[in-house]
Amino acid sequence: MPETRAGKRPQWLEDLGAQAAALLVALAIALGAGAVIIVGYGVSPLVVYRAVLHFSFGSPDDFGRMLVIATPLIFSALAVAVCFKGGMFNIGVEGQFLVGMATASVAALHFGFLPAPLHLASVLLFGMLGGMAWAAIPAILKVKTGAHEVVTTIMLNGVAVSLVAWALNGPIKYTHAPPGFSIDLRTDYFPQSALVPLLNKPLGMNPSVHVSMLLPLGIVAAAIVWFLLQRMRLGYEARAVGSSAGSAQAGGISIGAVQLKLFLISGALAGLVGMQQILADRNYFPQNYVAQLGFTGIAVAFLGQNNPFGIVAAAILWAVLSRGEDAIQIQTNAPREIIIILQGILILSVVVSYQVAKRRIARARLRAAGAEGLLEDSGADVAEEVA
Amino acid sequence: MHSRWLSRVAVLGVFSMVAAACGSNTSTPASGGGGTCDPSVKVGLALDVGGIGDKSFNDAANRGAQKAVTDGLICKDSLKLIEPNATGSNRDDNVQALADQGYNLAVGVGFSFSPGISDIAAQYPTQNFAVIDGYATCGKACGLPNPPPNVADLTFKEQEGSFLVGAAAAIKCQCDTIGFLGGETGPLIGKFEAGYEAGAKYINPSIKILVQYIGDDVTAFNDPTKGQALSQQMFDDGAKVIYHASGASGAGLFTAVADKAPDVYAIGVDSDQYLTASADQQPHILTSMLKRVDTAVYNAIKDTVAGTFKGGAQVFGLAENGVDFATSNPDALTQDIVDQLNALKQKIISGDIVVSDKP
Repeated sequence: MPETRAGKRPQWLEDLGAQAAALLVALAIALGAGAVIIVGYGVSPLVVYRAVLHFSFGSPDDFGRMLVIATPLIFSALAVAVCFKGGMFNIGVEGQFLVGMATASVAALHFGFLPAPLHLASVLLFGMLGGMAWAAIPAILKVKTGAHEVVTTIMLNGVAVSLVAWALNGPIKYTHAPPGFSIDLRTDYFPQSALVPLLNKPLGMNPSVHVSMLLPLGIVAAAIVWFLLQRMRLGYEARAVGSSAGSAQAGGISIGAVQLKLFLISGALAGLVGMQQILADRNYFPQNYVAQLGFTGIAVAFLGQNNPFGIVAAAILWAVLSRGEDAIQIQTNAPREIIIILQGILILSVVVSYQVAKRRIARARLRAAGAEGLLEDSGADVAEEVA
Repeated sequence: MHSRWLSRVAVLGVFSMVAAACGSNTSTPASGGGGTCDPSVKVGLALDVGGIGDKSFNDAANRGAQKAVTDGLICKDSLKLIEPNATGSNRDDNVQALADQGYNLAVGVGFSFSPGISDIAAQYPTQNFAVIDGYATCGKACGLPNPPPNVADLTFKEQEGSFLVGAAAAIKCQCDTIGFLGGETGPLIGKFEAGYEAGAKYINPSIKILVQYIGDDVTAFNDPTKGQALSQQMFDDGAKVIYHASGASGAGLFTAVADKAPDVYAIGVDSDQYLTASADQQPHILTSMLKRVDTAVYNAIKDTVAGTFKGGAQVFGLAENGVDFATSNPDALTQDIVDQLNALKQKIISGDIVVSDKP
């Protein structure tokens, strides 16, 4: 039986395999269900799916534009995943990334005296610190008072929106107002030394494709998060706290310290979410910034099953679908809402297929351990503990 | 255990919030089309958030494009409408896609398209681009590259339309106090205020105009609660008519006016807000200052087809049929008032009256 031999492979590899399989099955289900809906609109699903793929893989430029969408999602999904590993829901990635954009703008506007690479480093650092500071509030509230992080982070998102609006109206508002034109509120343009180097030229793409060094940085961040959670003590403690806080405490783990650390790491990652738009796309911080990236990160983390590398893949998948919204409108007569439906079905089917995969793995492990009899009544619970 | 359960509920809640944020609109391509259309001219409208069915900018732009189809300027199949996603993050991508596909004219419906279009247009010098309410041709002063010659900003003389509704307010109320509710302080809404005040004073030089602004950032355009409070305050101070230029905050004015005496009125802005008001508000809506986005779009299409499209700032005033007033509530805005306003309109068009754009 292949399943019994599976126990000899490292567990993380096995989990990764199961996750990948679950994601592929879910994708197949979503595409199948989507096809039915598309046919209902009187359009050929093949035409629609070809258009979607064409807009992400049809040319180097299309590919680059897709990667630009994926870049911030990697950071926001990683931020969500780090907290999730410790059993916490950071719904506040949205607010943390807004604050991060504001603090990074301060560094971009005022630290121009630093030599070029240091200036950019200081901008990214300030972005991370801004995100961390905003994440520290719910973290401290949780550790000290027990206030549930879901409530506090959601509330702080609203505060962050207002705080950023205030900052854009005061401390970081442009100083050289254009005469006579009504333009959106924003900061001044950042100096070149504050901007993230673009990769469009080396990759043979048009100058309007703003693929930046943030993409490789996001992949490095995913690797660091993976290492942290799989190979370092904090990761073990996080999983212990996440699966059973009581047992973790009995085992000598300081729950509060772990939760605080996870939240700060999450906030630092969240602080980098907005860098693509202010340091690569726009080169200033506008009032009409792209919002919702923090919330989309929750969906992407979910798709990637909180696995850092799964998240990179899921971010790319999400970006392909997002590009598909344009593709459908330009190349077909089907409504763009098909993509939104597809995204919804995809998440639902990932939930189901991954749950099925988890149970199968749990069963296989128990069988390998010769504990088959236990399965009938407690299979589901055991499956969750293994995960 | 308990907290885990709570977390799950919370995640569900968040997903439903995300789902709700992705509101849906179904696009309904209009039928029609002249027999003599030129199939070689393709026109794309990159709509702003809200899309088809917003009963405002996007719908107005679509009306202009559909009229071009009905008039046979372009073929029905050559018109493409693209809606952005819920946050508008793919505005630029949409314009880029239209440009890539060789559309002869791409119109960004909303000033947020300005920086993107000023970039994109430079790469497609043989195609035309236009931005409604835009500043894409502002150049260095706005931190943008030098405007390419194939970009036009389609803007409006809001002060001229506001002049007419100001006059309407003064004629209708025969009173000594009216009000103005602005959204964000600044030069843009200042044009509305200036025209409104000038129009009212033209009719009644001693009339007093109360002025309230909701705030000094763009959130001021989406704060109906404050809009209602400030309107109430102006009504309490004796205003008989209030004109708003405050976007979605204006809903607060309509709420406030609904329970007032029959001779107290509100004036809408941008689109004919009588048509979207509730039954208890409608009798109180005197008129609306119309920004004819449809005219601007139609003209841009016409110029593109004729090969006479010109870049730069194109300003649409009363003479260009770019601003107007609504006449959908004849019980309030009676024919004799309409006649007087039309006379004033002619004076502005002929240059006898010049409306300043600064309060």
